[in-house]
Amino acid sequence: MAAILPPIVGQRTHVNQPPATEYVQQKSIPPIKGGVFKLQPVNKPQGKADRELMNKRVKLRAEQPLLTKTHTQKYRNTYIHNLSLDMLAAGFHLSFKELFSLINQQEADRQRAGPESVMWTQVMIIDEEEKLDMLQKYLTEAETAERKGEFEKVYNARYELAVYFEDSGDKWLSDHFYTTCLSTSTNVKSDGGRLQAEGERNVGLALEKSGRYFEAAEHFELYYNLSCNHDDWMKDDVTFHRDACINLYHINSVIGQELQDSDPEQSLEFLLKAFNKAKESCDRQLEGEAAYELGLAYERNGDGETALLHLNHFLETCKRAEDDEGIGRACDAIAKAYSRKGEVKESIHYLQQFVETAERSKKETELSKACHNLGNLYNKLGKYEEAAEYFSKAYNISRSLGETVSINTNRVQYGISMAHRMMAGFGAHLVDISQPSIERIVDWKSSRTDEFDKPFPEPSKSSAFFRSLDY
Amino acid sequence: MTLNPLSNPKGVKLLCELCQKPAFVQCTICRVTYYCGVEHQKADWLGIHEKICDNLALLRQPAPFLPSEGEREKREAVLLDKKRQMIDLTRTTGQKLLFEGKHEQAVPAAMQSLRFAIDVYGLSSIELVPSYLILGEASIGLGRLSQAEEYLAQGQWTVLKTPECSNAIKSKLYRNLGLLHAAKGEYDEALRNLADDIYHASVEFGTDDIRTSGGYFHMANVFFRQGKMEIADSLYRQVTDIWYNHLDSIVKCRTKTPETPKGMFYKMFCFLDEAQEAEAVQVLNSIYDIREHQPNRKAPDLALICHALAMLYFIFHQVKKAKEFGRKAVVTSDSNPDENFSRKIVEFMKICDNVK
Repeated sequence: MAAILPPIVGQRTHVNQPPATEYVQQKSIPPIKGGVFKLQPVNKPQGKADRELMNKRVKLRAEQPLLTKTHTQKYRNTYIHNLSLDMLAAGFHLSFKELFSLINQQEADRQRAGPESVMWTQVMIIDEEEKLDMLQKYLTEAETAERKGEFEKVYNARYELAVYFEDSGDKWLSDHFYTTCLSTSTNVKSDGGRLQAEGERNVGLALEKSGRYFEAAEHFELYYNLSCNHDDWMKDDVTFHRDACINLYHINSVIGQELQDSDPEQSLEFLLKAFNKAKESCDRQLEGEAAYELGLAYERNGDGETALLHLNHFLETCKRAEDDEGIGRACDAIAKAYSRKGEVKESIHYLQQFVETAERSKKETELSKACHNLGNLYNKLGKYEEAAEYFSKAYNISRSLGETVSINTNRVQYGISMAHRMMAGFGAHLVDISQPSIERIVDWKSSRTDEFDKPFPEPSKSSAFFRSLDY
Repeated sequence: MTLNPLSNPKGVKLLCELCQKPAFVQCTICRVTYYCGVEHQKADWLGIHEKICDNLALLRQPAPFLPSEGEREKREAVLLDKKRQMIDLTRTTGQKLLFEGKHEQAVPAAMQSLRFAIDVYGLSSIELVPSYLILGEASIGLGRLSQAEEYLAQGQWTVLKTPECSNAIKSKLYRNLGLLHAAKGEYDEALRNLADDIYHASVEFGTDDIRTSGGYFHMANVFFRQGKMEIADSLYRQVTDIWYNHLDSIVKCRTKTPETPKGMFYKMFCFLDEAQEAEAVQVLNSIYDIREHQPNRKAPDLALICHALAMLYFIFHQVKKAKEFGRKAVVTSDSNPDENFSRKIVEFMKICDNVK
């Protein structure tokens, strides 16, 4: 075998060096197929016009400011992209995460709703720069505070956002922030749960607005429990405790109304709860209102006695508050309850009271209604005189008010009552087979004048003639 | 096996696999790879050649004479498929070596992947970018910043020219640019790039994916170096949470599925690929170090990272280490009021005892 050839010059030099470091240094870019690309020289402007154009361009370029990378990015990227970059670069990754998931969720909801829905054409937050700016401002604020453990500030920032979105009509976002407010407030221990109570209240209100009454009631219940023993917590001159009671009353009465048809038993239960809370709130008017609703519900369930009890309670509160409209409603309801029980006298008594208050307070609609009811009652009793009187009153009032529906009903009722009134006379005439009576019926047939009440004229000869014919 | 350039057949120049200089050594196994010296051969062997040696023979052999058109096409297709596999393999290897901190060894793998990618996709394809990124990252790791910048600039240019480029690639690119700037000490620029990384990764995978967590981790490191401990802390917590949840789901998946069908384990979510494994080890261990040396650390944070590490080692079937970390987690979470977490750890320890 031939002797080994000496290594090529240069080989020894890189034996001493660490091998792996060297090949990278020598070749920055791995071999590229197809040879080396050469730069072409820039075409120089040939004529004068070309040169001038070139100079002009250079001058224009010199006037433009030099852009940094950030500037070009601003121009290139979407608004939300830049916003996210700003947030992330400042270290607010939780804010970014929240914003991002909000945007994604909205998009997902929209896709689920499909192109037929209202959501499809709605403007998404991703396109609303003002809202995005607000979100960025307060979310970063909240995150700074959260890092320092100042949860009250976090709460305030989130609350700001919720209020802002509520004002701008974006219910979905404001709901989200109210909910996060609530979860933040559970971390605040120093104030004994005051913020938490506030949070519960806000979430409850938000839920109530979106129609999820049962969940709302749960939150209000918690709010109530938290504020129970703290009479010193005030907001706008109202203690939290009282506010909780009022809210609970509202939600319970709403639920009660909702359940009215489907489940009367439960509805009663909720209304009773509402009544109790109203009582606790020490607000007379509210208490009365609750009693009224409860009374009506009892009556629907056929428990007239209890209904009357509550309705009378309402009447008293109204009387004390000199609330004529309330008194009217109370009298009306009580009268109905009595009439259902069959105690007509009482019923009439209350209805007359109703009429009086309505007259006193110049509530024309009420008055018309009252007269109508009274008329109905008299009609039933067979006192057609009074019935007709009241119906005519009601008819006149509603005519002056110009309400077509009530005009029509009253007109019919008035007519019916008049007919009733006439009935007795008419019947008597029909039974009595004498000439004047028949003549009178015939007269009535042709001219429709009610003359049946008038006494008969002295029996004349002609009638004697008729009588003689009979025999 | 030694070679002499002078004895090569006429017109054939055998060049070193790594530095493209005349070759003096040949790989005795595949017989298609040449090196300028033993050092390069060794470097290549450790880096990538060990894994691809068998396949290279097939790929580099001169095409045999195939008489029919169909057979020729078939062979083409087989080769293309093989090359694609090679790209994946070399890339994953490179990435893994990077996560293990072996930057030098990663270079051959990255070069090899770039070569295959150019072969398959052509010069200006977006598919080359991942290889550029690995090269860039390796260069950063080796402290050769200007070179890293070159690679990354190449990658960025390709991305810019390809508007339909996927967010995953963009995210990786920005991550490496961020690392580059961080290595240069330009922290603001680094943060902006990492922010871009997180944004793109979030768009692609969601904010709570392990593939997004890398951006958070590097960002945390930058803030840590800037001395903004609060921010770094919250970012580290985020990273830990992401990994914790991911590992938790893997452990659950493994312990719940019956042992019989082996293939079941390799479902998407039950499985970490090599690069991800290396990343998990690197990220979680460094967070653990930081947490341990923090003077004002919070017990839950430490407990969480310990538990995450324990689960990681459990997945690697290193039960002993898993138990060790599990015990640490139990100790640190003793003062922790969070009932749920303690119960979880206890359950996990039971599973560890059962495996053996």
